[in-house]
Amino acid sequence: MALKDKYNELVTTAGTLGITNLQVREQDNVLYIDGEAPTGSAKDQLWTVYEKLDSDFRSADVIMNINVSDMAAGSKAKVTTEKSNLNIRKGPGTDQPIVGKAAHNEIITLVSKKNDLWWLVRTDAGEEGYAYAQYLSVES
Amino acid sequence: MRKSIIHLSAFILLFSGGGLALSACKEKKKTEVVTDPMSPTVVTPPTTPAPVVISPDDSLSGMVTDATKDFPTVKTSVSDGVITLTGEINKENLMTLMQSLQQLRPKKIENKLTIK
Repeated sequence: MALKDKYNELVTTAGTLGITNLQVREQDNVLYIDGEAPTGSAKDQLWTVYEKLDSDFRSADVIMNINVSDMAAGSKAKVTTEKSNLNIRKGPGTDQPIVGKAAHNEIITLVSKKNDLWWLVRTDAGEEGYAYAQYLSVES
Repeated sequence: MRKSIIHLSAFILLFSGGGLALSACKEKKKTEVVTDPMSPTVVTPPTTPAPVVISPDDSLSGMVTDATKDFPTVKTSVSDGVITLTGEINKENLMTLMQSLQQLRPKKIENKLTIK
C-alpha cells in the first residue's frame, strides 16, 4: 500500500486543521509531511491522528515536521515541561551554560526566534536566555 | 450486356474507393486539428516537488543530543541521516520525544525503544 494511502487520514486532517504551507512528499519509502499549524492545539490533534495510525511510532515511514505559527516575538508562552523547570541557557544548545530557570507552568515572554528549536526568552524576574521551543506553548 | 456489368462494377468500385479515400482524408483532418501547434490547448508541465532536505549527520547529532537531554534512558545514534533509538521510555513521553526528533529533518527514525 502506498504511504499516502496508509496515512490518508493524517493528510486529510492536516487540511481540515488549517495547516499552512503543507507539503506531503514520499521519498525512499518515507512520507515527509511539513507545514505550519495555526496553534499548538492543532499540532497536538494532528499528532494524535498520527499515533492512531502508528501507535508506537515504529514504522519508520513518516517524518512529520509541523511548526506552530502563533509563536511570535513579544508573545507570552507557558512552560509546558512535564513537571521540571525549563533551563534558560546562554546560547541555543544544551552544551551552553545555564543562566536561569523557568518553572513548570510559568508564563514567560518570547523575545526572538533563533531557529525552529530555540527561542530567546525572558522571564518576569528579568532572566534572559535561550529555551527549547518544544516546551513552550503560546497562551491563547 | 456483360461489358456493361463490368463497367458498372468498376464504377461502383471507383465510387466506394473514392468514399474511403474521402473518409481517410476526414480522419487525417481530425488528427491535424489535434496536433495543430496553433491550437489553444494548454499543456501543463508535470510539477516535480522539491526534494526533501535531510540534515547532515554532524548538525543532526548535536540537535538529537539537545532533544533527548531530558530522556536519560534513551540512547541514540545517527548515521546517514537515520536516527536509531534504543533503551527505554515511558509511553506518555514517547510522543513528545518523537515530535522533537521529527522536527530535526532526519531521513527517518528507527524506533527500537522498549516502551514501558
